[in-house]
Amino acid sequence: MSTRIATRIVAVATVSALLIALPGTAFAQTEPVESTATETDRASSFDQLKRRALAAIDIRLDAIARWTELIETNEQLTPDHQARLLAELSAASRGLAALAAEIQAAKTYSELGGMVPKIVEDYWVFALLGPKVHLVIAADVMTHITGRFDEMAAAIQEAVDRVEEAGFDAEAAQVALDRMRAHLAAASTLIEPVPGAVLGLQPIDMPEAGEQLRVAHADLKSAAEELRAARQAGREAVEAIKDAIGG
Amino acid sequence: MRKMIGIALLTGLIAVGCRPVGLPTLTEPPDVTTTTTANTTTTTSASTPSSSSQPSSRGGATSPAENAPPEVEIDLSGLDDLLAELEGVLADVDGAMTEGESQ
Repeated sequence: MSTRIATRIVAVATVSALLIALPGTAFAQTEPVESTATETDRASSFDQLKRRALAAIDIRLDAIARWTELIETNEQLTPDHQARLLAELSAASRGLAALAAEIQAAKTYSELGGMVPKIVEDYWVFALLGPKVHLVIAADVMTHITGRFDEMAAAIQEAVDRVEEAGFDAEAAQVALDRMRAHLAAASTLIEPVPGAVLGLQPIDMPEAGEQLRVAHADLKSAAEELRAARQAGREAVEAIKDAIGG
Repeated sequence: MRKMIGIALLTGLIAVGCRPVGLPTLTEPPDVTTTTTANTTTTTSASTPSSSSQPSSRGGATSPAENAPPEVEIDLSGLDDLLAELEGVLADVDGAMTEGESQ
């Protein structure tokens, strides 16, 4: 809760800084100037603030468009994950476009002051959506890779069995193969919960949800280590088969 | 007539008596099969035994002295391709997390 309060304070402070800093050139003048010049400066600062807010939205819309394409072209994403991510990106895109229209129509600093924080707090595009998209894609790709590794482990097992049937000692190969399978099992255990853990996270869960994203990220990195170790164990199994038959 | 029967019987007895008893049957050569699974090719085929190979004496297994050792070829290059794909995906996640932290 304290983190949320702190976040809101930071957001309010940021908006206040924007509102104060941008028209600052006008407020900072100590010498009296013609009122028409001051009004022009203030109008210019107001427009500048509006442009910055709209640019911030554009950056986010561009990112959402990139991620949408990434999701649509990824062949390893499950249909369910793909549908959920696309729905969230679509909703965020529509919401930001509507917010941009409101900001464009704003006439006063007060109106803008109420809208600008929404760019961040209503969507958390880079802090939540982006990591969520990439974590789910990575989890599904890694699940696919683990499956392919399993197929290779099965092929190595077949070779081990044939070597044993021919009467040769394939124990070392079997030990390495068992190690490969243990690494694959550990990888699956780490990868499997990730989509479920992050897909449900919403902007209202921020910034606390950031910790869950970091945990999911760490789990995928650990799973990658397991897959690398599985590859090494697979190689050792094949070498052991060759040693057993003198190949 | 008796002489002919006697000669025939004697010939038969000699033939039976000289048959090698317990002659081992010839073993079948090892299977030669090729299995292709997801970039992995496993081939077992007959080849010359090597001095480094130590046949085991597992129950029921045909003696390696009579069975040529299988030649095994497994292509693991597919694993490297998959790991290269993995590194790319992880780099994307790292980038997204870093970008998120800086928001």
